[in-house]
Amino acid sequence: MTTPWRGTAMFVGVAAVLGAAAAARFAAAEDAASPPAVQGAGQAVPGTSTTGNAGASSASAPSSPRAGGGGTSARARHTVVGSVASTPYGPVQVSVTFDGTRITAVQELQVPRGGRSDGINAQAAPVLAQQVVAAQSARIDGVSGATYTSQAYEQSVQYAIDHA
Amino acid sequence: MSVDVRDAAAPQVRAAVADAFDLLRDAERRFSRHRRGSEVARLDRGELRLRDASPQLVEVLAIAEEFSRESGGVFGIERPDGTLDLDGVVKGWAAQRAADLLVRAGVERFCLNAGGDVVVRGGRGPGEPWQLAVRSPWAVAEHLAVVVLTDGALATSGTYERGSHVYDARSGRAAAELVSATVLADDLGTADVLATTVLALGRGGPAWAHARYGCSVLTVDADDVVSAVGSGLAPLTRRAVHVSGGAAASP
Repeated sequence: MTTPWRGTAMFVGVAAVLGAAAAARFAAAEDAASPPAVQGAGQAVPGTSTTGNAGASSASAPSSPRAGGGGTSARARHTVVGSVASTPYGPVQVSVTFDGTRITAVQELQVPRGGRSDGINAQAAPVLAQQVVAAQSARIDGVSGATYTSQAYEQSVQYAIDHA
Repeated sequence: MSVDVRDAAAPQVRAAVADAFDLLRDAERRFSRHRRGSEVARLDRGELRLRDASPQLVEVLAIAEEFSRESGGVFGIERPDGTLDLDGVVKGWAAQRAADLLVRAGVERFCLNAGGDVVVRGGRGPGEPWQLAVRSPWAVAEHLAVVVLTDGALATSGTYERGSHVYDARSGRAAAELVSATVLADDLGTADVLATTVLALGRGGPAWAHARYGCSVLTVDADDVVSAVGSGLAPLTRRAVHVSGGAAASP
């Protein structure tokens, strides 16, 4: 694993109220020829593993990650897929695009659709993405009273940052 | 439920985090009123006698009893339908126990977030406190306040996500005066119970909690008025703000 230790470990546990969280990790897409490496959170993240394993189905879920700069500078621009964080409304997963170490974009791969939370997420996700790009991190360490959605969003972003 | 640990990922740190999650899972199994086989459900159905209850259950019941007494009966552990409901005590209590476990194991810097109830220790780096936010009840991605905290606990009880689920135990009526109550205290057990109690008490809640427990309280009432009592919970909002006590200045 090429990920340098960044001094931060995010341990993701399972609270029964939130349901089991599964996490998948993709290698940065600089080598488009090789299949994406998928690891369970328990292997990729030090600490407790979640009860969910990285499902093989997760591997094909996102659309093709952006490849980095035609191979000239492999790490210059790369996209890292965050963990899948469960909420009562459905899974939340983002990918984070880095230009070097700078976050340039956050894409939502999965956010809950339908029902009461749909309207919330329709406006929340773009705002959350802007905040992450502006702050260059999930700068707020924790949110009290956060909704399931924004917590799950930050969790997925943090995972991607930790594995960039 | 997550723990952000800033210590080096030594094996003993990983083991401590695993133990902390085990503790939380155990609390969920033991206290959930949604699990038929939980200790709480068995006690409620009369299948378990109090004298046979676990020390953990006895401790939680004692805490609930204490806060019920202190709040003049506003905080209670019976739902309007009469079933036993320890949720108001258990989440903060269990998360604080998990945090205590991490501290005992030598973990120096962590931020433990149990469904929006947060306990932090040691700052995220030397001389660098944790930065926590309080969610705005009006918009999921907005923050009502940012709290800079090295050691302490922050809990919020609100009606904006799950609807009115907090009741005044004396009347059985749903809390309606406040939309959201956030409490900053030294430990999460206290912060969590007080957030619920303040929400149930309504507009008189913050002053009571501050006077009795020395905690800081941030509330939003049904008219969208934001109020802060005590220090450390300065609101970011441009809406009507009332601040009293401590150094909580409005920007």
